[in-house]
Amino acid sequence: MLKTLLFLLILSIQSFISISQQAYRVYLTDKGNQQFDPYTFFDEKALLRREHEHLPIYDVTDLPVFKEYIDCISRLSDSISVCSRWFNFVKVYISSDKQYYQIKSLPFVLNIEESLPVKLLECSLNQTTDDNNLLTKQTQRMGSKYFKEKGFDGTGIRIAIFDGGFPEVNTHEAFAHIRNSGRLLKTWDFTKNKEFVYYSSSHGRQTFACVGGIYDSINIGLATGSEYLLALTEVGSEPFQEEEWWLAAAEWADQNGADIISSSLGYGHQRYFTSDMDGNTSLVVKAAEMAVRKGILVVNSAGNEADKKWKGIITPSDGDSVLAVGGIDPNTDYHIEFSSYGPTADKRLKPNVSAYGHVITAGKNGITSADGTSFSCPLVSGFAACAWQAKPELTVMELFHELEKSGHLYPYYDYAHGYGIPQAAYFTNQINENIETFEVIDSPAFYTVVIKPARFNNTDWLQDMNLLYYHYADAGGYLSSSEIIAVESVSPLVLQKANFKEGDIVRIHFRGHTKTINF
Amino acid sequence: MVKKLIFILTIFTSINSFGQTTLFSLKTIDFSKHEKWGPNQSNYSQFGVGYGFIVGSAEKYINIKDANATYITLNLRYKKKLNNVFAFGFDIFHNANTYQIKQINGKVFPDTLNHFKEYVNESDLGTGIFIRINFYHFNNSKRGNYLGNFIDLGISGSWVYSLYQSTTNKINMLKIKEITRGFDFFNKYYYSAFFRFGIDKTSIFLATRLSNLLKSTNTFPDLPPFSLGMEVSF
Repeated sequence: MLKTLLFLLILSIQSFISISQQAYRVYLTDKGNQQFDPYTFFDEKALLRREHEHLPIYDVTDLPVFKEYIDCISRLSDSISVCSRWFNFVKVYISSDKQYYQIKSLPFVLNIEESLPVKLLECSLNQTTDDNNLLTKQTQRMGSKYFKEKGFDGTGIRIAIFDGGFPEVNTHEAFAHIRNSGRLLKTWDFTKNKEFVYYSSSHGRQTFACVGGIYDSINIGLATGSEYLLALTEVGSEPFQEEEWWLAAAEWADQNGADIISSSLGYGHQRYFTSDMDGNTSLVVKAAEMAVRKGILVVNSAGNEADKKWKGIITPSDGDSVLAVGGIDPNTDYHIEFSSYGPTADKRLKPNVSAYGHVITAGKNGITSADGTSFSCPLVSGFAACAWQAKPELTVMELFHELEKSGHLYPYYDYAHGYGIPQAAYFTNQINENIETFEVIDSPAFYTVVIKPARFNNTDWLQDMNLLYYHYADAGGYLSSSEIIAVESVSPLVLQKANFKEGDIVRIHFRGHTKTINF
Repeated sequence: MVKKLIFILTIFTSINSFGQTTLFSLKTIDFSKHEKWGPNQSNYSQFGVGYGFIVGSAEKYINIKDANATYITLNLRYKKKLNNVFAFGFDIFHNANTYQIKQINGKVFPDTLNHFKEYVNESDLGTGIFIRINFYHFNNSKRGNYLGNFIDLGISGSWVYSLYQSTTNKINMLKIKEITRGFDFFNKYYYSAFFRFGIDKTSIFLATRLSNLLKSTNTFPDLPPFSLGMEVSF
């Protein structure tokens, strides 16, 4: 009996330890002596992007990993998968310490890191379309009519979508306009190294639709005229995917001329602490930052962690050049309960902007409603494509900052909404004149916010909720708290001066107007 | 003048301002902070429950019914993280061990009588220390706030505070159960070595007694020293 039990115990431990081979990233010292022709390696659009961003046609990070090194490592490992030209590593699978040390001792090996997975963002689906207006509202809230009037639909912008599968995208009517005009340029399944991506998780179908889908002549997303690259970077039945596939997809997107990466995935509690969300720690964020340095706008979901223990954003949203998108509840027009809170661990503003986190999107057949910042992100990706079409002269970081400035709360911000929902009118130069909607009365002991009578009753459906935002900040702009109150009287807020110290800042926003009180 | 009037008005109406509905409030969270307590933080404590079997070869030890010789353990554990691979800690635990005695010819423990059913229950309080080795993360050692996969190696000491024999006999279809206490052939203390293999909050537990549970002055062999079971912590 004891022997049997011991045998079973040892067997279970042994089988657990050797469930699979260990995966490692082998970083290399150099890229050897090789010939490189950027004009054959890159898509023409990738070269144009570099020119537009005032980047050299190529640099050392664009050179492929040296083939002789790959061959040598390949001989010492069980198998290899991703080779990253940006970070000059080869991902290997090995099953013994001997292999590990043999590879480590190679003269061109810089170091070896263990490789671990990354997770696709969870989302919840509701097969009923409970709000018929929502499909219209989700783009209307971003001012879609202004883009439509000017004919901005993302034409000329190439968007790469990273997700866990794209079932029905090759048949669903929401994508017919893209398929029929040949704008679904390339697809690649990085998990299986094959072209076919129309299977596995429906998450990709839903996020793609929120970028540029059309259903029943209504735009699901705004970039209905863009070109698309679809990258499957998630193993179908598994909840995990490896960080390297995201990186490989980003390099592929760069090579194939993507202007925007729309990524509704991220990683948090399984591997990291909130203190790691500093824009420098994860491989995914380094990959995302590198993509931005190549001139690609990276748009990423902030995460769905606010109502969980983690609460904060997930990587790669922590990157300072990654546009992190938070979620808005369409029913309240402010933060949706699950949308992750900023700031980053090093106290930078996140999310940067927001969009609806409860949307109508492409279902298996027809449309369905869905929840998650997974859908806020593609809504903003589609918006960004139209914005870039409207202002093609902008470089990627200029566009990043313009997108922030177009937020409906700007210059107000907080760690739940960022600068708010981007507004198309900003990019079509049709933004309303900044009307003073309230004033702050200064008395010896108080600051009193008084709403202008004409603004107290407003019939504009977008602004009928009388939301007054205010935050407390230090001199560096770091917030200590923020609140939204429902304006139910003409003086909704009184600030007692005694409660503040010198250098404190209170910023108040009401219906497009922001005032700052400096103590 | 207008401003003064507005000011008076606002002071008057400000009484109402405190009645404004706060729709959303966010106190900024400092995400740079490392908590001191947590599964993969500097300190961690947890409460655990375990269940398993007591086993040992029939030739060497007192003949017990393997599948019916069980233990239940409740423990409180503290773990101190040294780095991403190594930790150490201690347990305070309560064990209740039940030894079902096989009713065979030549039975000597705790007496020579055969019964319809017989078991000896031993309860003890103990404490143990262990070292923990986390694995799967050897080279990069990155994991979030989880216990991860680990092996614990430790030793423990126990104080036997309760001991009784329970017998059930059938007489004319009537079951008569008796509890007998006051045996003096048990040691008050015993020592064990243990091994745990865990995946986050679930672990497989294997322990072996290093000292005899029964006094060496007894004429019969010791009770089986091995216990093997599962433990779940909260």
